[in-house]
Amino acid sequence: MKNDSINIWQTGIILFILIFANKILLLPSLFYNEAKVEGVFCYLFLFLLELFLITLFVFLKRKYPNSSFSSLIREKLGVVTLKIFYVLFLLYFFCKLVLIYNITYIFFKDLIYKDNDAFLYVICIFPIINFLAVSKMRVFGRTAQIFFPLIFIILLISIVLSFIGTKSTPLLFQGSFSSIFIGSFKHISSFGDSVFLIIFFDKIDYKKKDGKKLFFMSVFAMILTLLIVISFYLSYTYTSFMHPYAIFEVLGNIKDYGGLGRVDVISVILVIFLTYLQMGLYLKCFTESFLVVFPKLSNVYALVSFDIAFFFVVELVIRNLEKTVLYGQSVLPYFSLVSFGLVPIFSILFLLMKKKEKSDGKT
Amino acid sequence: MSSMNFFNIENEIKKIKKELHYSFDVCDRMLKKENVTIGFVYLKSFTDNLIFSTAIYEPICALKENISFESVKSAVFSNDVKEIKKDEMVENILKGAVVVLMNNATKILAVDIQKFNARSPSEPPTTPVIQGPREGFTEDIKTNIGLLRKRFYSADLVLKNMSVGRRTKTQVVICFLDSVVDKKIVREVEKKLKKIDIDGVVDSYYLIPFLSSRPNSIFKQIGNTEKPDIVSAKLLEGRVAIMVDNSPMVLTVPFVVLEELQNTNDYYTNYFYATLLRFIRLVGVLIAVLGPGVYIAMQLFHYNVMPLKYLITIADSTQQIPFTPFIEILFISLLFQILYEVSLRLPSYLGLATSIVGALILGDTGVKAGLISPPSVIVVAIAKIALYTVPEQSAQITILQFIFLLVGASVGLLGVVGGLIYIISYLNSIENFGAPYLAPFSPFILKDNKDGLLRVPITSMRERPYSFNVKNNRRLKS
Repeated sequence: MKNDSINIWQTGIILFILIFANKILLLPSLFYNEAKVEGVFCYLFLFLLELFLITLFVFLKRKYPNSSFSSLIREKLGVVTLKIFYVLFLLYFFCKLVLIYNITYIFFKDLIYKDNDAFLYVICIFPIINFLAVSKMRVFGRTAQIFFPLIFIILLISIVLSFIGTKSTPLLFQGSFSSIFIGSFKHISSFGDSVFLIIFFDKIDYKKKDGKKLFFMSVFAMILTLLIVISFYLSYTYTSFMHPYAIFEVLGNIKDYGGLGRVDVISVILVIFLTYLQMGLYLKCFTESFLVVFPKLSNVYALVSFDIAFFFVVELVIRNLEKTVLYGQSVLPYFSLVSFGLVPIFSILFLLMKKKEKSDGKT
Repeated sequence: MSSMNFFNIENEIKKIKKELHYSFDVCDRMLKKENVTIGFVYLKSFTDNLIFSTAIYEPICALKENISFESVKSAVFSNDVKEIKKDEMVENILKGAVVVLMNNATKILAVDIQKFNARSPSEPPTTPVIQGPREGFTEDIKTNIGLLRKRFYSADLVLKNMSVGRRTKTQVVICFLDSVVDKKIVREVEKKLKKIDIDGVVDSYYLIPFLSSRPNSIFKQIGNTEKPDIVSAKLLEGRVAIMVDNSPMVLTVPFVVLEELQNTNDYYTNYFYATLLRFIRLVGVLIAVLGPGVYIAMQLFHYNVMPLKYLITIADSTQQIPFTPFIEILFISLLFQILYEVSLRLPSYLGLATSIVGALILGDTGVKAGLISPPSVIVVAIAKIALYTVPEQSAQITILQFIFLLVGASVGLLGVVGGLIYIISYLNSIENFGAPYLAPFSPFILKDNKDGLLRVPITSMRERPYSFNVKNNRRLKS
């Protein structure tokens, strides 16, 4: 194993965490609002896009196992294209961080920090995600690996208990097909987590048949996410759009199950873990992209510029549910479509179609 | 050979005495026999008169004719007789050897008959034994080597000798199994030990910062034990042991945090029970580290997510308390820590009295007087008891306990989880002698987990750990 690389299981675990991390809070109720119970199909549609990107990654990794994505783009498409792509990635990760920050801020403020100042959230989140961003990828992979059993167990308990609390079956086909596509497009910014595979392309140890493990982990995460969403719709049926925090709500629906008392607190712990890991990784992706755009600067510059810009934007995009939803649905979908969809998909397809040269340049 | 090279015994003895600053315990003897003068120099404090007489003096006196260096060398009774150079005389005397000089020889003899009153191997106080061997290392390195040799009747056990410390010249022995260990680890240990330029090594603990990859870290990075059976097991796993003279504590590398969850008794008991105990230890560590922090966070910030019954109980018992919950918990924790320190340093007959005063009088009266609440006392007590499920890490856990208490009181659950992620990331960045600190949990090594949180039967532990490099992984041949 290289000095700063992660193995395929660690990659799968990170992918697993990212896939369901920001999809089990606001999203189910937002999808219901758009497409009613067919919101599940929005998930399915966007998960297929995600799987397509993972497939492309696997093909590209097979073809160029030791190259970095940036060096490949530089070689095949030139420096200008490289800079444009990575500026897009840079902005994409920044926007995603703003979105996640806002969603989780509202969640924590509503549920566990009702009487406290917003600054409390900032002083908790910032030092930790900055630390995770400067630590090596190997360290991040191992950290995700050690928390994975805990996250998985909480998720499993949540799913099992949430199905116990279901009330009735809501009717399917209330929404139209177009609402599925509109809903999917509006919330595309919450997907596209597999872009991290491209950013850390050279830091992932890939051996033959590793693709199966990656698919297994991602499909598994997608199934669990869908189960949470289905149980949420089954629990709240026609009032699903009124309940913004799906994972918390499905457990809140169960009172004192089997003498356990309130179990919804475990979902808060789950969301805290996911928030740190997800934001840490996205900031890491931001830093990596920054270093490609500005190769002469160190990651300290990346983090300082991020912290300043983030603070400024977060203060502008003030923390309330309506503005966050508006932010996530207005400009961000177009931008996400380019950064998560068009850029990686077309560049990978281009690279795959190109003949492989003898020198497998590695940065 | 010219007579110029022979020794003037009296002059040489004078020089030695001068070099040793005429210390009162430097002793010299002269023996004249058939025109040959033989001089003996040694330290009274190290050498028993009777042994000197029977092992050296009398056998030389018994020599009849042609007294030569070779005949003297073969006459003395000792396991450790060596020829030394002139500039090595003082060093050998200081190490307890008797230096023998002859006026008809150009060579010098050092005979080690050092007799030092070392205590006999007994059960170490740091590792109480329920089942299994009760022997423990002592302060005498020769005894310790013997205890280890006794467990390996094989030439595979290699002992490398070196000395560390400019003034103390302390004997340090590196032990490993030649056919098992990765030589890179041995070379790294040697390199690190040779680099040490300290005036003295009083105990093996002095070497720990020099061997650790993060010397300023609060986390333990080098294994240490007083039990020869543990050292033997670690050598069999492919680790390297470092013995230091005058220290009963033997160091082992590479060290992974899992070793702290393991206990010798695990291997001498049913494996199901051993597995259960390991899980309990892990839960104990988590309770000890996070318990007070989470409790205070829930009480101060997240009371709305607390189950109603608990919330009412806590609210009932804390409403009359004059202190804030943080001050209250901090006060009880500090009180416990003070009592612990006092009980460690007091003679055992006073220890019981302190426990009664601390636990019964202070605790009970504090609650009755309404100064502290019963839930807080229970939380701190559970956390402090849980701390000793892994007694070797009690120092680190205590520090973490206070840190998490502070974090929990300042920023709540978000800070506690953030702190936990920070600490795990930090521990993941530590690697000592090629072993990831949190292996085999992260990176997850399935085979090593047979002796991780689980403890499978010995018959299923077919391989040595993969957490660090070993020459030969096969342990059990089918």
